[in-house]
Amino acid sequence: MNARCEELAKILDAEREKLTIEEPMDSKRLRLGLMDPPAGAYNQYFTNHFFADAEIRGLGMNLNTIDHCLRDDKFTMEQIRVIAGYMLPFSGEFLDYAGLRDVWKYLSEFIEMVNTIDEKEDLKNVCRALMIYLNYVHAWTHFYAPWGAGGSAFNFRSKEERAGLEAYFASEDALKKAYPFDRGQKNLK
Amino acid sequence: MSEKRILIEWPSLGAKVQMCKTDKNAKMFDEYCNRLPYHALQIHAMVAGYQWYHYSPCVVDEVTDLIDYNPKLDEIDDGWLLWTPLAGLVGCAYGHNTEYLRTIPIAKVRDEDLETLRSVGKRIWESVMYTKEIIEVRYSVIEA
Repeated sequence: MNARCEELAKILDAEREKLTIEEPMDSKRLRLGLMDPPAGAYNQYFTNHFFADAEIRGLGMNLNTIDHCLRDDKFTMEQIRVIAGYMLPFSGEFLDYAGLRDVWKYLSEFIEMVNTIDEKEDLKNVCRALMIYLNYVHAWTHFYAPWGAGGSAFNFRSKEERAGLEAYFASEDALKKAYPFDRGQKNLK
Repeated sequence: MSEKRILIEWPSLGAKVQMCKTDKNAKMFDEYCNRLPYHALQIHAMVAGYQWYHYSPCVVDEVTDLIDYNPKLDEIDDGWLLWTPLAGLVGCAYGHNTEYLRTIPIAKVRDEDLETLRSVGKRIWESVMYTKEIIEVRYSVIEA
């Protein structure tokens, strides 16, 4: 058992419990546009919130992959270092810039552990604690994302609106060209 | 004779429902119950459909032997509690979902609680989409 890893796992569990129903400061900074430097092109931060929310969601999934690799005998520590190197730093640094400072603080500490610790067993607990912590932070960015600012502008078209479009476009082919509606794999029989 | 159930409570809404074990994914139900109680911030799916979810600290290392029912999300009845392969994510379909990815139903809401589940679902949607009213969800196991 590695004392550093266990210590970080304990900190992450405690932090996660603290932020379960109390918004973390980083999330608040993100939604109020108080990050420095001001992340968001052309003097707005609406886009930053969406990108950060998507990025931390994906980062939790990537940590899930590392968690599986640590518990799977088919992966060596050397291989896990390579995978982690591809999957973790870019997202983490972006989230730091986006305003989620603690996420990068803890993630970069974990990456340093992955790069210097040779026993997979030592990393299992801390990886899982970090993954759950990230997910709980994501709950906040998801919750406060300004969904309502756009939702009503993107309602699916009603039957009547679609009928109007069909009347406007002379053929089904012309309609599909302008509005490439697709049923996905459900229609692939 | 008593049976084990999952009690889900939303204290700020004054609402609660009970989820029952079925003959589907019964081993997974037990495994999940072993990891309760916990609490979380209640959020809602933004794409899949009428489904609320939250993250949990419950992670199961190997689920292959625990799963015997793995339907597509758009083909299940309303009222299923859903386990997902994404670590710790627990959802609940309270209406139709258009997403056709496979899911792992582990417990079914009591018939008498289905309407509560639906009205809570709508309230959660409004909270995440518009009002930003913080809703805590609590899970525990009860004998009923």
